[in-house]
Amino acid sequence: MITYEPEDAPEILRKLGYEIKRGYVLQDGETVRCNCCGRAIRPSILGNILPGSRILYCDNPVCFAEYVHIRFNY
Amino acid sequence: MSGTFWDKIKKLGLEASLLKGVAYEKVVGEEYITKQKQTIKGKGDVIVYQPVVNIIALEGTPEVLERAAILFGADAGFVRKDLLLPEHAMASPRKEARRLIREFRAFIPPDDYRALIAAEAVCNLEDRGMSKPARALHISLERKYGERGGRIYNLYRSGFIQDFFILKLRYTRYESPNDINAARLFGAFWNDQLEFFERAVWTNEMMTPDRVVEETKQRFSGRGVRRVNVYARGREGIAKIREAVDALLENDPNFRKMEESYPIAKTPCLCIILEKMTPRRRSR
Repeated sequence: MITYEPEDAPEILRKLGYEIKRGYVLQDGETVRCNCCGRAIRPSILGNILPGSRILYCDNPVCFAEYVHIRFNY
Repeated sequence: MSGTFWDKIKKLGLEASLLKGVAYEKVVGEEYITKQKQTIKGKGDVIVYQPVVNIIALEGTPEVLERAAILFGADAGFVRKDLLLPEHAMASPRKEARRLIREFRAFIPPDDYRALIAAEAVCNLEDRGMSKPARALHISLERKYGERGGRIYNLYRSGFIQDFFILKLRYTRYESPNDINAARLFGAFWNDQLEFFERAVWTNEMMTPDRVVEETKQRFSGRGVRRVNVYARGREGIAKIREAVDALLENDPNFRKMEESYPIAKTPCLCIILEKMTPRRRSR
């Protein structure tokens, strides 16, 4: 995992091919949502971009428990 | 550091000097134990064994972020810096805790299971004296899962998951013809208990002593409940439940009272255990 500061989020997202339009993160024209709670992702509430995939989580760390549950076979 | 992620990083030709790891001490999980000599007043030099974990994460320096797209292709993920500790706490539960929690996996709703994962992480941080990140994660747990999440934390913190619920689950599985049936039975039991848990009252700043009395009496009024634990955290909370229990016992002396004091992340806590006694019959 690579850590980033909140202000770096827009740059990282753009580098990974996401678009930021009217404050929201888009991919292929569609609003990207937290894979757990469904919140529409804005750079300010981005928490995680998962390794090797296009799954994003918001900044509620408990949403990451979904990933822990499934990916880590917890 | 080893593993396929690091092999890929090296193959990408990133200079080692750019790869600054994010390290924490006295954190969750136990990758290795350090030995430190400390001088303790009255005891002299002692060896202190302390678990130390380096969280396997790279700091996103400008040079590293420049190569974000390449790193992403190498299976690197990105995590906002302030979330690294709580997320690592969830991904690295204590061994025994993980073993126990996994038993519930197929028997409670997925959201409750994830709340349990988060509850263990909160408790782990608390038990290591990391009260601020523990509190922050606790708030996040309740923000996501509401009162139900808060109850799951309380049940876990107070040991009911580890004693009462696990025994019930194991017994249900033992008695059931198959796990599908056990899941149905235990699931119903779990939901009932989460709606109203008659064995304990967890107090908070907003509860008055009268409300504590009311909640405690309500629990004793049902289905042969003979023992109720009343929990408080912090000096004010402790004073409140003592006042409430004293008021309860003044009106009804047929209780035995025991107290257990303990700290959670340096905050004093109290559990008052109330047991209903059968009134003595007068002999003729």
